[in-house]
Amino acid sequence: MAPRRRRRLGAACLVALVAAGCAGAQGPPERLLDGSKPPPLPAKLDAADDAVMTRLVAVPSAERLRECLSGTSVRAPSGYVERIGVAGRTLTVRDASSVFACDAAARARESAGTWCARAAGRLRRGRLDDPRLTLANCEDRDGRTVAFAWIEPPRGARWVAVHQDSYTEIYEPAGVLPIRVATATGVDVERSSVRMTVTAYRADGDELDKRELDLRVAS
Amino acid sequence: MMSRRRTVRPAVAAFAATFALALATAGAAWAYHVDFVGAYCNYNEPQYTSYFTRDGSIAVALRARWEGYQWGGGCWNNNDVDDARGDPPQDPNTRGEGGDCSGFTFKVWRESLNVYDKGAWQWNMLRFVHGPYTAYDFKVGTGEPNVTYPKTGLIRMDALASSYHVGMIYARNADGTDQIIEAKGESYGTNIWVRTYRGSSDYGGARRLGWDA
Repeated sequence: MAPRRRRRLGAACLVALVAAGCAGAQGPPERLLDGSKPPPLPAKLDAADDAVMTRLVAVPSAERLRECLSGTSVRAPSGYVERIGVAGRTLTVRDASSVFACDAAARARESAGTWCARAAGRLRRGRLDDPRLTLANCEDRDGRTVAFAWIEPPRGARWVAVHQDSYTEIYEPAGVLPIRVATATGVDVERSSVRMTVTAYRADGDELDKRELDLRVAS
Repeated sequence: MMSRRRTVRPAVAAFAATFALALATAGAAWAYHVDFVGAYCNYNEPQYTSYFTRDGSIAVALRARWEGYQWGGGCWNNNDVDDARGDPPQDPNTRGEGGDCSGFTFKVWRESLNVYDKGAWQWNMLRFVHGPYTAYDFKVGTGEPNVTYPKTGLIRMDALASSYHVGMIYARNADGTDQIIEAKGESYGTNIWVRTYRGSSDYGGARRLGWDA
């Protein structure tokens, strides 16, 4: 190939890469917050080709639980789950009348140990009375606010997808525990709110429910 | 004639029933869906203030007294009436009048949306703002201007915060209780009540730093 033609082809490839959003940079993230590779996507869930599976740790380490619950009024947890996603890592603990969360992101605005935020929610008839949105103290590596909130999946949901800017995070429900999700997308600091699109899927991979949530920081 | 009356009466009854149902439905909707935020509130910029005092914050807080409560809310006028009375509790989307406990504290403490900012910002009472903090955030001292503080040393306009609620000290009573100014709930509104939060293990002390007096 003549050098001039090769240069032209190279330039065309560069343009194509830029147009495609530099492939790797725009695809779903290849690593979760803790540096691990995401678990494989469920075979039946082919709804999103930009999806990344979050990791569910059914039995968090005793040390992590202790760190999280230190100084709280949670005494007899009846269930807990740790979740590791792209922007956030959360621990959700439930007792008879409340749910408690510890949230971590890449950075904390104010040093706060392992967890950059905590949240407590009341249960009424087994359901949360508020998603307990937090957005004060957690940031991603780019300094963007990372917000956390609980989502209660609809009955029959096998997976829940939270749509981010350039990818979709997939969460797996864990019993009756609400799913604590993390997002740096749709955060409006001025209005202390987060807008997120959430889709629930059945075990056969079919869409069960899709809605846009407008969550707000509240007492 | 008789047959005509027989046919008319059910029609009238059906109309009356439909009309009554429509009124009842509309009444129920009107009962809570007063879009106070849309009608009266704004998003004007806050004013930076280089001098702010606890007395000044008491004045800010008293303007919200009697003005109601709104979950996730943060705007009110000063007419001593909850203009959106009867909003369903714990629904931030009813756009009613008043703040919730953490939004009220944020505004009275004249805080910034930027958690790094210790400065004092004057938010107009009709400026809709809640701020980034939950009651739990105040309890653990999240945000540059906020710290936890021993309960025995708390003075007026310091706060007592639990995982679910925060209220500010209006005055301390001789018997060890406090008069707390707080946005308490939809059925209570915003007002001053005598509370024993200081003696409760659920509550911790919280202080905003930077007062000039």
